Amino acid sequence: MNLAAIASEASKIRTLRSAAAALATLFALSAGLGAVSGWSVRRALDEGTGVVRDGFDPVSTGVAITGYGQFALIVFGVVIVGHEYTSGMIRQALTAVPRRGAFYSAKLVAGGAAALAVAVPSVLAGYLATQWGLGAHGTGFDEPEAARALAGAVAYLVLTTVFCIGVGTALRSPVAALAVLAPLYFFVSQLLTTLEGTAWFAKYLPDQAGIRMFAVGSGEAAFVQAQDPLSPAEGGTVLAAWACGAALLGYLRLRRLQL
Amino acid sequence: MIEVEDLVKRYGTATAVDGVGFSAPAGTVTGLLGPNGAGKTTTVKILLGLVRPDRGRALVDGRPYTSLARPLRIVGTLLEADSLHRGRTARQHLLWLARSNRIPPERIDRRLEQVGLADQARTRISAFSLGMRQRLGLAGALLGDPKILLLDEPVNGLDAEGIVWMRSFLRDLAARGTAVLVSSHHMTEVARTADHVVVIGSGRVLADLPTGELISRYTQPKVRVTSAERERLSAVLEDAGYAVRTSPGGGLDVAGAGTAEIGALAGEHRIVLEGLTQESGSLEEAYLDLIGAPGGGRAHGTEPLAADGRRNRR
Repeated sequence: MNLAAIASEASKIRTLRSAAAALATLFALSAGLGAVSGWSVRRALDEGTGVVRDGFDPVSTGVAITGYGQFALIVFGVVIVGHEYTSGMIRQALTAVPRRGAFYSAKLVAGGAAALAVAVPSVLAGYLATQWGLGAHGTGFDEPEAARALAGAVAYLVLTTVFCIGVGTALRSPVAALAVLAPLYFFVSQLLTTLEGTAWFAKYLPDQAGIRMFAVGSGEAAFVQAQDPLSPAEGGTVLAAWACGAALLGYLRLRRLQL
Repeated sequence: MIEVEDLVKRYGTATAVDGVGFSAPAGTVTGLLGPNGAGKTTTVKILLGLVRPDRGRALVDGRPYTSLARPLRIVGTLLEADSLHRGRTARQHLLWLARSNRIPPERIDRRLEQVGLADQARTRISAFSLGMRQRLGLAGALLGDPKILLLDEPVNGLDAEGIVWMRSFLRDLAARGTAVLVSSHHMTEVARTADHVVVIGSGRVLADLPTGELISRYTQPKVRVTSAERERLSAVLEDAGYAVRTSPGGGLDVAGAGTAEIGALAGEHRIVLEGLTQESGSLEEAYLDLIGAPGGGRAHGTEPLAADGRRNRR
C-alpha cells in the first residue's frame, strides 16, 4: 500500500466540491427521509389504512432508506474518478504516482474509506430518525436483526461506491458512467425483477443482491420481493463480486490508458 | 540527466515519433524544438510514462520514470495548462501533489511566492488566466526540488513579461545544476533560453547542436541588392559563383557575399545599384527551412540555395 498516494487521494476528495456535496447529501437524505418515512408509516399504522403490509418491521423500515441514499454514493464514486478525466488532471496525477496499480488502489481505498466514514453516521442517523418518526411503533438497537441490518446497510453502501469507482474508471467519463449506472439502479433492475422471465437473473444484479444484506424478515418495505431470495451472506457475496469485477475492469482499462 | 534512445511510437498507421534520440544533461537548458505535431509532446509523454513507446528507451536519472517511487522529488513536470481541475484552489491543487510524494506541505507557500501567485493561493483555478495556470504548473513542477525539469511549451499563454521571467527563471535553475528540457515550437524563444537545441520534425531528429552552432550553421547572412537591371545583375552574380534568389520585394538576395564584393562586382559591370544592404539571417526562416515547412525559403525563392548546404537535411 502506498500511503502517500492514499493521503493524496484523500486530499483530492476533501477538496472536490461535488464529492463533498454528495457525501453531505447522503447524510441529509438518510436522516431526513428516515424521519419522513417513519412518520408516514406510523400514521398509516395508527389509522389502519392497510397501506402498510402485515409484515411491518421497524428494523426493516429503519434501513430501507439506504436504497435512496445510495444514489449520493453512486455520484460520489463516479465524480472522484471522472473529474480527473474531464479536467485532464489525470495526466498530472499519473506523473505524481506513475505506478498505475498504486494510483488506482489508493483511489479505491480512499474512496471506500470516505464512503465508510459517512455511511456509518448516515445509516445510524437514518435508523434513529425512522424510529423517532415511528413513535410508539418504533424500536431500538436491541432487536435481534438490528445490528446485522445496520452493518449490512453500511457494507452495501461501501461496496456500491467501490463498484461505481470501478465503472467510472472503466468508462473514463462521469457522463458515460452515470448514463450506465443511473438507469441500472433507477429502473432496469426493478423492471427485470418484476418481469417473470428475468426475475431469476435480476436477483443477482448488484443492487438487488446487495439489498439482501440489510433485508429483515419478510418485511420488504421499500423493495419488491424476489422469488426465492438470496440470503444476506449470499447477497453480500454477489455484490462484492460485482464490486471486485468492476474494480478489476477499471484497473485493466487504466493500465492500457495512454494519455 | 535525461536520455532518450531510438524512440518509436505509432498511432495506427501514423508514426508520431520515429527513432528520436537525444540527451539533456545536468546544468543546461536543452530545447526540444519543432512544429506542432512534430512529436515533441509524445516524446515528453513517453519520458513520463504516460505513453508507451513501441520501441526504444527513455530514462530520467538513469531509470525509467515509472520505476521512481517519489518521482516529483527527482523530475518536475509542466504539462499542458489544462492538466488542472479548475474547481480547486491553487493551494489545494499543490496539496494533493505534495502529499502524493511526501513533500512537506510547508513548501507550497514558498513555491507559490516564487512563481508570483502568493496572493492567489486561495483562488479557484477557474478564475486563473492561461498565464497564471502556467505559473501554477511551474510551482507544481518545482514542489519537490527536482534536479530534472521537463516543461512542455512553458511560455504558451505567457505575456511578454512572463516570457522574460520564465526565461531567466530557467537559466537560473540550469546555472544551479538542474537539467532542464523545454519543448517549444518557437525558434526565437528556444534560441534565447536554451544552451543546446534538438530540432524535431515529423517524428525525427533533424538537428542536435549547441544553440550558437545551430544559429551560425543554419542562418546564412545575406546581402539584399536592388537594381533596375535586375536580370543582368543576377547573371553577373551567378557567373561569379554566388547563390542568388529573388526576394519578395523584387530585389535579389545574395547568400555568402559581403556588400563590398557585390558593390565592386556591380561597378565592374557598370550596373547601377539602388539598394545594397547586409542582412543577418532570420532564425525563424532558418528554422522553417530546416523543418521543411512551406513558409521556408524555397517557397518564395526562384532558385534553391545550393552553395551552403542548407537543403542537405531535407
